Amino acid sequence: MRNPIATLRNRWSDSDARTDGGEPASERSFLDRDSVRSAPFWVPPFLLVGLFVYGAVVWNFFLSLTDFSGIGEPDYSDLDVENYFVAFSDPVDGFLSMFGMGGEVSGGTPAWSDLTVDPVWNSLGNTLALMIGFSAVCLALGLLLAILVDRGIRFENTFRTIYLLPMSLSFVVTAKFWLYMYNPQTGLINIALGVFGIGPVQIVQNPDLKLGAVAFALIWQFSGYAMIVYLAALRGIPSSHFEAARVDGASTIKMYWRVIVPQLRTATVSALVVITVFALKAFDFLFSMYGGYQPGPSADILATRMVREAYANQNWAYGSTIAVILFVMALCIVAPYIYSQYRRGEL
Amino acid sequence: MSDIQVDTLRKEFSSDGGPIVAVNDVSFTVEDGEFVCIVGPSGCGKTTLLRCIAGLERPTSGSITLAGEEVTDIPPQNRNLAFVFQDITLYPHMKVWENISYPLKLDGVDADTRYERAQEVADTIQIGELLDMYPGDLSGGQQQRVAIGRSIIRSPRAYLLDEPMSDLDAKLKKEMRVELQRIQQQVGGTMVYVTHDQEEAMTLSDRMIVMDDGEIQQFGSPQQVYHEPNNVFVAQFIGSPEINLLSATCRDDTGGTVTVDDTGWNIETGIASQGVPENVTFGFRPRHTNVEPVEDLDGLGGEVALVEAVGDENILYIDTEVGEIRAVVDIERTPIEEGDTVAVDVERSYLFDGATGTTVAHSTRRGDQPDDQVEA
Repeated sequence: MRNPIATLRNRWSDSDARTDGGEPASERSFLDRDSVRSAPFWVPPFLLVGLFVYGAVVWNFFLSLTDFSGIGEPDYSDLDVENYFVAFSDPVDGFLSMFGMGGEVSGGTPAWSDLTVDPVWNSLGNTLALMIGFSAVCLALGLLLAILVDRGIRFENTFRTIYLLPMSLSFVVTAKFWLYMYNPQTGLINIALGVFGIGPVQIVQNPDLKLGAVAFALIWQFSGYAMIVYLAALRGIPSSHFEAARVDGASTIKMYWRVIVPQLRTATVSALVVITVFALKAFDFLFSMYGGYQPGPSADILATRMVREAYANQNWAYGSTIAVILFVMALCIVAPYIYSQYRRGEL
Repeated sequence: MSDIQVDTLRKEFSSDGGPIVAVNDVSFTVEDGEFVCIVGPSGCGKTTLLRCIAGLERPTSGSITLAGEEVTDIPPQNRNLAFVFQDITLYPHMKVWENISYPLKLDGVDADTRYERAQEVADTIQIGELLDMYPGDLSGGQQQRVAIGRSIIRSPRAYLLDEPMSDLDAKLKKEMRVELQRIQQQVGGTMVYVTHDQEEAMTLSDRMIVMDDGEIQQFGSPQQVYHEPNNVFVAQFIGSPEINLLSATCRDDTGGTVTVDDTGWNIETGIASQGVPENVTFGFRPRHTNVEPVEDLDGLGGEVALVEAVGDENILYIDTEVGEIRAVVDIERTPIEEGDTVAVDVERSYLFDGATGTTVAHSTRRGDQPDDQVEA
């Protein structure tokens, strides 16, 4: 059997003489290039990913510029950024409202609707709070666990497995599990509180505790991941660094704070990127916990808002707008990481 | 600065097959301002001993006293010692000056003062121009200087160095050795230096501890250890090329000669036979020999198998009836080639107990007055 590419090359090139390995690449025939010869392997996935991921992203962006809502077809002839103005309407009060300040936030009335459409400030605020609070606690807890596990405790492997196990659960399982934990009558948390004479406390439907409850469950699930990343990095630091700091006169806390933690920067960045992106994608978790995309305003994040606008209110274009905002946020998180990797030549 | 007293120190590590004794009831005293090397083969417990002094290992029993203060149970950060590690422990995220002045930072000294002090120290160790670089940009020798700089900045009670030069190349090692002696003279500190390199120990130390199997084999000046080894192990470990050892028989009536086993060689040792056990190990250093080419061999000697040229000297590897022996000859005086038959005349001999390995006696070098010897 003959190599089909070799057959092709023989048919197309003038002679059968092969160039030597030392010849410059430009003198090799087009069909001889590595990139061309490997095309059967990379072109199909390239096209598929390009079309369904990046194509969809671009399409979604154009959709967000239309007035598409209700039943019908989007009209791409009239594109404007009105939806973005609606999303960020009343910027001063809206921005302040994310920190619990400012006056009443008023929405905007876009051309495609007779009603006032709410801006995204509330869900944006919740998303940011979840993202920052959840990732910060997750990393801190992960680091603490990693340091404890790294200090040569007994049953280290068992602890490691126990902490990492929640990571292997799906969001749905975690949500249902914590729904039970938070249950006012039968939940473990309320039973524990009851011992001290507190409660029963409504947690999952309590506007003041909702977001915290969600964040707590997510922390439970992901701090094990942060721990593993940190543990690997800690193991990479030679033990003499710990000892040198000791002999130099550092207490345990100073030793970690001044010598060890600064060396965990790379680990922090990679764990942070993964964990923040998970926070952005917490939709499935909220969906399972609240049985739909109506978690209520105090736990509403951009992802639930997006789905609600699109599928409940049929404001397709506005849903796309929120999707683009979410996409830009994700990009903001990942881009610095990818750029730093690129600069260090690891991409 | 202070003296270090170690008293019946013992360190055991637990393992699956029962405890492993790394340091076995070791006692010694390092005087104030003294440079002591601990030397021994790998696994002899020398590093464990040093780490016990530093507080990085907790001794199983025994005590350590620094300047009259018992420190056995004091954690390392409160002992005020400096430790230089084998793998040149610099913090990669700190600049050179920050690395050097890190112990001061822990004492709460402000940044300006720290920079000044780091500058002073860096000038002492001749890396003044590297202060604002990161450790990753330095060569191995420079990194080791920084590590030494960090250890001297705080005027600790003593400096502990754990094979600090084993990662450096031979030339750099020699330079750093001189440098270290200069620094020690300048700062005048008590130094304990662990190495497996006997040559390094010989050149650096005021006194040296030779360890094997968790026990001190000998503690004395390099001259003492070289010329008056306590036992076969010390004689073998110290000195290069290695001492020649032949099992031999000694009898009272032979008047100072031993008979090398399995041969008829009677060798004049210059040691009175009284009190010498019958089974002995006869030793002589390759440098304490006279080698002459001969036609007919009668006695100690054999065919030269290999001539190794080391500058001014040649090391001869001579095949004899009882195995290989080594001799060092002056390249100018004795032209000897591979294949020659040579007779070896021993100038200075050692007798070790054939059973226990302890030194029984050693002769003075022929022609030397006993006074020339280093005092015990």
